[in-house]
Amino acid sequence: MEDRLLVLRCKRGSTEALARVYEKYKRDLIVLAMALLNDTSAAEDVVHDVFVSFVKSIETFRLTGSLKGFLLTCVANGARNTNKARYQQDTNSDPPAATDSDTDDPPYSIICNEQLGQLGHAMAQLPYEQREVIMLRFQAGMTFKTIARSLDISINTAKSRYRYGLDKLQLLLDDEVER
Amino acid sequence: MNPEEKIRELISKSDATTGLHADKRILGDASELLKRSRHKDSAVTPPNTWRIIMKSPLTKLAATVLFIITCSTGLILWKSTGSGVALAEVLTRIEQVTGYTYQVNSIATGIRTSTVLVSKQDGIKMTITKADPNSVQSQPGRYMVGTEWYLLPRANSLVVLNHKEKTYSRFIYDGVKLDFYKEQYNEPRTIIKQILSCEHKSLGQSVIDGITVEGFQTTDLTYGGGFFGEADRKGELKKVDVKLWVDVNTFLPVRLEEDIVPKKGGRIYEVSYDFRWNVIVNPDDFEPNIPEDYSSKGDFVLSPFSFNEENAVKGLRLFAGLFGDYPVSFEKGVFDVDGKIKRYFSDTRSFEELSDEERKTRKLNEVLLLSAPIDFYETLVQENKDPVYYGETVGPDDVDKVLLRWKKDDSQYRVIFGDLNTKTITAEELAQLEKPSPQ
Repeated sequence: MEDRLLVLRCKRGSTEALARVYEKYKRDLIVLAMALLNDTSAAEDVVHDVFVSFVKSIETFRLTGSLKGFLLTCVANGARNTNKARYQQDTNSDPPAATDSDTDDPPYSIICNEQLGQLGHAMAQLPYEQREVIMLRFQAGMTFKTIARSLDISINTAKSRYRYGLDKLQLLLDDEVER
Repeated sequence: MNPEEKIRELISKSDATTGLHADKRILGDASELLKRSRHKDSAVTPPNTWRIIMKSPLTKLAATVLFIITCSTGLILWKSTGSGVALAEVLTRIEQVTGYTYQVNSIATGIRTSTVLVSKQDGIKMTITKADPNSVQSQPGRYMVGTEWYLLPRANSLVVLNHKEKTYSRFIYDGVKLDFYKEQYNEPRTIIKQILSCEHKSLGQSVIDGITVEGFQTTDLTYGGGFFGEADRKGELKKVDVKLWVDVNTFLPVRLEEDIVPKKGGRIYEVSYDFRWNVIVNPDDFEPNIPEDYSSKGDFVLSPFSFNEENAVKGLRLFAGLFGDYPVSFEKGVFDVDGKIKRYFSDTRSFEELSDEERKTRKLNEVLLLSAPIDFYETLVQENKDPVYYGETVGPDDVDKVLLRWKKDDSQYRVIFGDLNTKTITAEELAQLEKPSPQ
């Protein structure tokens, strides 16, 4: 209920309400963006763009489900676009593995804990489509039906991406533990 | 641990913090954009008077909602009466109490008993029981719990449980800080303010349950008390007899009797008693206890409007848009005398594209806007600004006719015309406009 009130207040121009939305969900959004992109700068850009777009569309925005779900979907979409742009730039076509841009970041940007670093690193080795389904399932708590609808794929495709991704992720994480 | 659990755990342990740079960039840019894209009219200033809404015979649900907004009535009713020194002291004493309970027995449309628990910190809880009409004759004393109300100032919300229907509704008030825990209908503080605002007299001393008390009485027909402001909603009153008995030692109320007869019929008889002052209140008592098998009738975010000219015009425009004309009168009990607002509210055909909850929220907010002109008018009355409303004879097509006018200063009047244009004019110009047209 609080989210609906926050959205209503944002519609009325309340920057306090916007700040509350940001504080409430920034962690989830950044974890998702990091898991999908494994790049703090790119993750920050995506979350930045999601909030700016949210404000741009606030007048016509109607909250029909959960605000968290909506924002996470926006982050997933933004991350997908970022990923596509990377492909276009990179003629080698492989998605970039673990881009450690932390060293170039300003000193007070996004700081990830060890587990998130580990997650991002492992995820970066999966095809992007699999990462996306796994994170939407785990992080956003979406059903396969919702994931399929939001990615415009069939439910079976969503399930198979999830299963293949999970198996591979399991191997990757086991390898890391062994090392 | 299976792969799913392992990944889930890793994700749950994953964490990130944003530093100043990221916060400043993300939130700063978004906030700046929000500031630039929004204009200022969205800032809802708290109503300076929340009085009149309960006077309208609106739907039960709307009344439930609007009841809350009327809570600060006492403020505008406060007038010095010269003889009210002792009562004013009673008010001061009550303000020092942190929590209390009392019972209200009411005979209005039926026999009703309410238990009220008040905490300055946590809000108000009311449990309203009604006599079972099928059994009260044969088994006197058999009552059914009807509704439970939780007025929660911290959440700025009202939660209503209907035990008969096994439903509950939640109303959240946006933009208005509800001070209802201070100003509640039929709550002793409000009642005392009501009495103070009316002509009243001392009844001398008496003894109730072994306690020496002093009585105060008003028979003023402008009295607006009654449980949920019922007297105020019944239109003009034929008879008022309100007696408040106060402990001469503690200066705290012991018993309140209200006997009110509206002109249009019926009678409200209520006795508030069993006051327990400075009881220890458990905050958990104010946590709505919603049984699992109860279904939600919806969460409604309501945005009461400030009582000003702009919103009065908006309300009149909406009224004309919906019903083709303006309200005939802003007087007590007349605003929705033919029940068109009530019918509109219950009509499920409008906003078909919206969900039931969204439609109700939309309509409740429209009802609030429809009430804005009356609230504004009532404010003008309270401020002695000589308002006159011509809704009975002026319609939306009457471009040059005065629909509502009030005094701006000694020589100027503000006018809302039939087409809802507004203008400041001199007293002479107003006299010309108000001159009856030749037959």
